[in-house]
Amino acid sequence: MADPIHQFKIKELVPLELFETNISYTNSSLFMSLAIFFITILLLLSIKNKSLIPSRFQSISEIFYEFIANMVNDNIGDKGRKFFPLIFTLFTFLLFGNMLGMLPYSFTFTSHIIVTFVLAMFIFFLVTLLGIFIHGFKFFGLFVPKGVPMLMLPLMIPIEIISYLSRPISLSVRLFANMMAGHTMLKIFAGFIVPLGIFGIAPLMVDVALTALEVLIAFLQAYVFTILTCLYLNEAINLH
Amino acid sequence: MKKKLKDFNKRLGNLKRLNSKIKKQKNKDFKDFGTYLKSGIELVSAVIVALFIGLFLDNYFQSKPVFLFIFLILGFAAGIINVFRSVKKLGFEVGFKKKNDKLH
Repeated sequence: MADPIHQFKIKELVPLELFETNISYTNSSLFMSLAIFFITILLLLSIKNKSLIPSRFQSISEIFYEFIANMVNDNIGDKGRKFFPLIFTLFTFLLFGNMLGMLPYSFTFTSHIIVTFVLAMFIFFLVTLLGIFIHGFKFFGLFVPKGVPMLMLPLMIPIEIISYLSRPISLSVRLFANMMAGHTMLKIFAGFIVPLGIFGIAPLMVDVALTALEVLIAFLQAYVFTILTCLYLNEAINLH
Repeated sequence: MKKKLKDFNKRLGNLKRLNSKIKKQKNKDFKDFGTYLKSGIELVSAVIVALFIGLFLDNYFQSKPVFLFIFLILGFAAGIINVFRSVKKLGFEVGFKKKNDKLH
């Protein structure tokens, strides 16, 4: 049977080394480049012939734009407009990464925890530094929950700090685990199809259904990642 | 003729309102789906963070299981609070509260 974990193997396409650190161009990097390439192509095609009645490509990018603009507006408000490019980039990058992974023979770079963890850590530091930069020392008032008696504070503050520090982990593990579990499951069911002969129709049907579910998950996880980024940014910008 | 047009307009308006209602409901369901998906990991991630803090402090002060114990218990509490918050729709995580909400 085919090895279900094999699809996540990192292959060095162009071996490179800098100061004894391996910085090879791998299949993961290839698919990240491809994601960015496709996003760029899509957006360039959409602005080629600007018109009031949008062409197909223009419609696609308008949908993307409105989706993110609404998300930023609903969650952060007016002050969040500065962060639109960041949110847009994050969403399209994750979405294309997840969706490219759905194609046969492709590689899903979001199924590696280091990729998602770096993204989550970047957002974590951005939000923390932004909060300190905007609100100064007041930002740490985040760790003091409202309506808690003084006596409980020594207990509550560490709990709040742990809860705050757990954000990048929950953010990254959620995306990584969903993508990896989904792709492993697809592969396991696919591995049963040929050995079962005529009865292979059953795992094949499961795989068809799972593929549909995976497309939904791919979109949903990109959405959840970005909306949580929006919420964190909102908290740092509009400290209650 | 005019009567017919009026009738048609009325029916169209009703349908349109119904449609937008359904759309809104769908949107809401979709957003909720994301919340349910994430609550499991909330519980675990706080414990993981607490575990690392505990191990690090123990390593630093050479006091093997003391800080690990304390922080694991705090970590469980933080995990429960995380899940509680996300389920209660108070918002998502730390400190995220609605404006008029006094309860934590």
